[in-house]
Amino acid sequence: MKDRVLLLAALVGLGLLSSIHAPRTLGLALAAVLILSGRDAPVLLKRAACAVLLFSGAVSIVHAAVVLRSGGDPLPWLVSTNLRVLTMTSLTLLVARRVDLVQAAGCSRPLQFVVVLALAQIAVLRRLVRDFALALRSRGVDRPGLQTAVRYGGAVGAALLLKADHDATTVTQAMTSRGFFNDADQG
Amino acid sequence: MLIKVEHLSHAHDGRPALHGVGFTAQEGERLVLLGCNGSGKSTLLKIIDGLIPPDAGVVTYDDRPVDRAALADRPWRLRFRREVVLLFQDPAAMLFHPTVAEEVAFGPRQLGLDEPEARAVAWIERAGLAALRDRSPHALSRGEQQKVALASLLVLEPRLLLLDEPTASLDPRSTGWLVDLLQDLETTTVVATHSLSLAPELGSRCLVLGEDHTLLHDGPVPRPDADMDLLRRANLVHRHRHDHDGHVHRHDHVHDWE
Repeated sequence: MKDRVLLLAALVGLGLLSSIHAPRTLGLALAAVLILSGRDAPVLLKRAACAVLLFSGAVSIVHAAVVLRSGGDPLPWLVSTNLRVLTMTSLTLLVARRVDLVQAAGCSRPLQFVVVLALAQIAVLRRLVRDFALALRSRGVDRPGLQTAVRYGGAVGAALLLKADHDATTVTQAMTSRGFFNDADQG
Repeated sequence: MLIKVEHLSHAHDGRPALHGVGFTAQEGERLVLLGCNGSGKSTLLKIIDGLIPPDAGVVTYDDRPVDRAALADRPWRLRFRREVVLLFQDPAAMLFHPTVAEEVAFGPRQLGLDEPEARAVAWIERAGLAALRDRSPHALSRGEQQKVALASLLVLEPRLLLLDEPTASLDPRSTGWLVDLLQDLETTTVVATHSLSLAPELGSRCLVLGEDHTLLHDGPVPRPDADMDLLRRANLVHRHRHDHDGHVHRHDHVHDWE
């Protein structure tokens, strides 16, 4: 019950954050999320920043270039948008860390299956990424050059996509084989 | 006759997986499906379980073709899913419940059997999983996941048990447990493996799939002393350097490196 309430509260919070535009309010919201995170705050903030860096960075640069070219001031939009994205990502990471999603989804069996499968897939893919990193580390003593890093990134991305695709097919077959789509209760 | 496989052919993305495979199995028979990696063992089991439609050929279960029409017939499909079960090569693919107890009870509940929880408890005990019943299946070791997946199938008391490389991720003790368990069952079984040394323990009749995806052999489990040609053609022996008391030479080996 506690997990479900926390998840609902977080979802409401995410909804509210998407409608706030004032940088000061967004800054306060980020501070509140970090206070709620307690000792995990620095790690959480770092992870959230890393997660959004590439996408938000690219969008911000393009937006700033377009607005500056037309003689406008891009700063207000950049501050509010990046603060909002960072706060929402931090809140999502906090929820993932503090809420037992399986318990929170306990109100619906199909939803609970989906959550369990999603968490299992995340664990599998995370292990794959870690194995890739360890394999790369085990094959050299220096940091890889740009070309190697690009090839490595491409290989990891492709492997994740292929693994996710293969696992999704196999999981669906396994569920079919076990009668998942033969629900006697619904018959 | 419980299953009849006729002229089965299948390709994945244009790459052949099975070519003209055919055999039959009587109720209670224990078949071993031997073949090297990529010979089509998993594909064959999935086709028999009605999960992949073959490009050509027919699988008949209990005198009815396992085809689109049969699988669209809800009462028949319900019966088929109760009676024919498949243990996947990666047991994690089968596990989607928060606890072991719920995982094992899922099949009987989903397929309308009586007292699903009581059945699950009995199989959890029999599989030696009592201490793990409230744990998440995904947090278990691969061998434990294999036991949970197997218990989740056997709890249905199936007529046909299809197992895809069931010993591939098991330690020796768990392998022994599985072999004992399979020998105690009266269910018809088809066990896919590339372990030649385990094959005689897993079944009395052997189907050998070749690297060309055809059925090379249907009969007794091949013996290294009498069937070396067949084993070589099926890529089930390995030739490597070998040291006998300081004398280094090369010859065929059939022992397993799992």
